[in-house]
Order: sequence, then C-alpha cells, then structure tokens
Amino acid sequence: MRFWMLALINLRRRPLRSILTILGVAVAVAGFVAMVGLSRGLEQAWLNSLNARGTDLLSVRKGVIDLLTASISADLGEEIAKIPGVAAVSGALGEVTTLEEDQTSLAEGWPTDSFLWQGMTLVRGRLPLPGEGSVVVLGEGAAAALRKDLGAHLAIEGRPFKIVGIFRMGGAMGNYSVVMPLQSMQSLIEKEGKVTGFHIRVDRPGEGGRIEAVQSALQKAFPALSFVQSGNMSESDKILKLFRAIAWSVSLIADVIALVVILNTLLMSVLERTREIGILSAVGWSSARVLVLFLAEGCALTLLGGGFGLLAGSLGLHALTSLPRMRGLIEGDIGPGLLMDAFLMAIVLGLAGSLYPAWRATKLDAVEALGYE
Amino acid sequence: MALRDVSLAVAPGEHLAIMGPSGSGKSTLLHILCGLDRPTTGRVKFGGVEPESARAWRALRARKIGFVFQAFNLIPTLTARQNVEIAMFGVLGAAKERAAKALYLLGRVGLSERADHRPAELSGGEKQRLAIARSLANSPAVILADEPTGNLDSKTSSQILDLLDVIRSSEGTALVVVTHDEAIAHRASRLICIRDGMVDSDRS
Repeated sequence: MRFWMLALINLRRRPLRSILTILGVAVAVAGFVAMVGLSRGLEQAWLNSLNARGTDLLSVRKGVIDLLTASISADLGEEIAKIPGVAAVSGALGEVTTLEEDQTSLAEGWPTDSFLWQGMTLVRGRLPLPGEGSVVVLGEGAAAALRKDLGAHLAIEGRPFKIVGIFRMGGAMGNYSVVMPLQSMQSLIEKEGKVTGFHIRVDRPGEGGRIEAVQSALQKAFPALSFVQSGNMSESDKILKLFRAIAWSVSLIADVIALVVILNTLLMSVLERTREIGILSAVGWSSARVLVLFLAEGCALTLLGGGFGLLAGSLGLHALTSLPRMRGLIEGDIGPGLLMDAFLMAIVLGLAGSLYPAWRATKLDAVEALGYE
Repeated sequence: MALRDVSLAVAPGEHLAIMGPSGSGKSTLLHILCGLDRPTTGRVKFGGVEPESARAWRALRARKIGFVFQAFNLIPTLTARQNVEIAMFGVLGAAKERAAKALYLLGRVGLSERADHRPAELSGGEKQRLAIARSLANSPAVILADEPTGNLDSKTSSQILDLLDVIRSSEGTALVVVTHDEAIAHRASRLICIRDGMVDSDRS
C-alpha cells in the first residue's frame, strides 16, 4: 500500500461527505474559471477588436464609465488631427444593439473614408460607398448565426439595412459586429453629429516613447478628453474594471465557502479518527507523517474538486458565450494561465483547509486518543 | 499520582509479567515504558539511552517496540495486510517490500487466508493475531502487551499466549505482558506485582 492510497481509503470511508466536499470545491473552481474567464474574455475581445483596427490611441470623454454611452462632437476629430505626431483620426459611434433572432451585437458607425475599414478582411461583397445610407457590412460570425448573406436585409433596432459586405475582424466581438457609415449610425441611435470616441493613429508608432509623447500632447490640448493607449484600454474602461472586480469578488466568496467546507470535513475526520491517530502514534508514526496524511487528504479532495470544477467551468463558459445574447460580445478566455491559476487555487485551498485539522491531529495525546470512543 | 518509586529493568529476550488489580497503575507503567506517557519525575532508558523527546520515542516505537492492546486497536477501513503495513511506513521504503513482509507476518500468525479481510470480518482471536503480526512489523526488541487476552475466551487466550511465547523464543524478543490474570502471569519468567502505583513484589 502506498501512502497516497491510504489517503484515498480514508476519504472513501465517508463517501457522501467526501463527494459533497469535492462538489463544494468544484463549484468554487468552476465559478473562478467561468467568472474570471468571462472577465478576461471580455477584455480580450476589446483588445482584439482595437488591435484589428490598427488604433494606437483611443480618446473618450474623461470620467465616462461606459465607453459606449459617451458622446463627443464629431467635429473635434479635425482638431485632434492637427496635433503634431497624429497620422490619422477617425471618429466612431458604437452601441450594443439587438439584431434579428435576439442576436446581440456591437453596431458601429465609421466615416466611409476612415482607416478603420482597413482593419477588416472583406470575405464577400464590398464596403459602403461615400454618401450611401441604410447599408451595412456584417461580421461573418453574425452572418452565419443569422443565416444572412449579401443582398439580404437585416433589421437593426427595427430598421432595415441592406447587407453589402461580409467581413472578418479580430475576435468574437469583431466577427459578430455590424458596421455601417457613421451618418447612418448617428441617425439610427439619434446621435446626429456625435461620436463615442476617436481612434488615432500615431506617426512612426514604433519609435520608442513616440506614442506616449503624442498621448501627452493630446491630453494637454484636449483636457476634457481622455487619451488611452489601445493596449491599456481594459485598464481604463471602468465597466471592464468593475466586471473584473465582481468576477474576483464572487470567486473569492466561493473560495472562502470551499475552504470552510474542507475545514469542516477534515476536522470531523480528525474527531472521528482520534483513536486511529492514537494507533498511528503507538506504532511510531511521526507527527510530520500524520500531518502529511491529513494534508494529502485535503489536497486529494481539492484536486478532484478542482478537476471537476475546471471541466464544469469550461463547459459553463462555453455554454454561456454561445447564447445568442452573449456570443457577439464575449468570448471565453480559458488559456493555460487561467487553468494554472485554477489548479493552484485548488492546491492552496486544499493546503489551507487541511492545515489546521492536520495540526490538531498531531497535537492529540496518544494515550487519550487510544482510549477515545 | 499513578506510579511511585518504580524502578525496574527488562533484559533482552526476557518474559516479564506485570500484574495488579484494576487501577493499580500497570497500564500506565506500560505506557511509560514505550514513551506514550512521560513520567513527571524519573527517567526511562532504552538500550542504555534515554530518549529525550516525543519524536525520539516515536522513532523507537517504530523500530524497536511492538504493541499489542486488549482492544486490538486495528484500523477498521484497512484490510489485515494493510493494518500490518501501516506500522512499516517510514521504516521500509518500498510498497512492495511492505506488502511482502506483511504477508509473511500474517502467515506467521496463521492469517494468510485472511489477508484481504477487514477487522470487522475477523473473529476476536484473529484480530489479536493480526495485532501481534502488526507488532512484529519492524522486528522489535520488545513487545508490550496490555491485557492481550482480556477480550478473548479461554481457548483463544491460550492460543494467543502460545503464539506470543513462540515468537519470543524464536525471535529473541523481550515480552512484557500486563495482566490481572494469575494464570497468564505465571507463564512469565519474571513477575512484578503492582499495588497502588508501587512495586509490591518483583520475583523470578
């Protein structure tokens, strides 16, 4: 019999209690994977979407909580373009909209001469022409989900738009989005002359400190706006920060509950096995060996729970991001880093939850323990 | 105070019985002899050396001392073989070695056929044989037996005592038996009587 086998035998003696403990850990780990995976996925979707457009800096109204609710005069774009180091500026107006079949998508409006169009790969059709209204290009993900193709009409917020192109663009958010000329978008959401923000390309962005210098100059010239490097967008968006904080808070609460469950299970186990601990002492087991036995039992519980939790969390996140209302906005991001974090979390839970019961086991008086009924 | 002015030495291979009425302190003496209890005053030496810490006593119990209890003290969730193996953790490194030695010892006490049975499936006599096999796990210098036949009928008691005698004589292991049964006490080569925590008599 190997040592780890002894730990498993001990866990099998109270199968229901062990299963419930494993379930508690699994829920905590699944919650962590799903919530943090969702939060990271949301951030990644933003970053992918911005990276695909070749944006170096993004400007939004200072202090705004939700980027998409911001509203800035589109005319400011010309002023921004005058700042030395700015290579190109494009206003963009975005809003989360409901398309047909309950599909939720990010709808954006861009000027027809914007550099932002260069970031998308046109799969079929063409881009909107200058002066053209009520036309859209549709991400290929959204096109497939809605079973729409070139020439078909798409209802956005109840208004029909003709699909003139199907495109592909970084990440789920891009591929499930719909883009139209800026004026059409302004008319659709009744924000004539307004944009949500400006995408800015910097001249010679590869030069060290160049982007930061232009950012600083812009910030000085336009104190009412906030200029953010696209790579830092997730740090600046208060909604993303809030979502991340909620994800970690919920995970932390689930972890604490799992910790209490493990603690309770192993303390009960120490109490029930008091006599056995006395026997182990009588046959010469060292305190360290008794300690390791209980730590091993705690870790075995959390590793099993962690395994189930990883699976459940991954499947749950996949199911969640496949919902029509979610798939255009969020993609789950369960990379090796997150899996490793979840695995480490399970180990830490196991060790933390079993340390005190294990210590209690080593402190039992052997003679009293042998007489324990 | 459970014991007072007790001074005794146990020679290698000796068969010693400690006798006395209930509450006389004989079990306490046994516990002190193996370091499960520590005396408030006085010293206990093993092989001329005084173990100074609980850790040193645990190491001694693992390698030099076998224990047989009246209540058997077997682990109910483990099989007979595993109950013997449990005493070898930290002494014999490889799992295969532990398993092989456990089977050999079960054979010595006549439990080969019961190796994969749990204690609940064994009779009282078989349980005590199993406890004896466990006490032999690490070839101890001394076996301490606390009322080893207290829970057994007379026929089974006799078989268990015979087994302990055979082991003592064949292995050269010292045997210290605590009992309040005169018949058992008289099987030993030396008898110490304890009364009210003091040695009343010590005769060979």
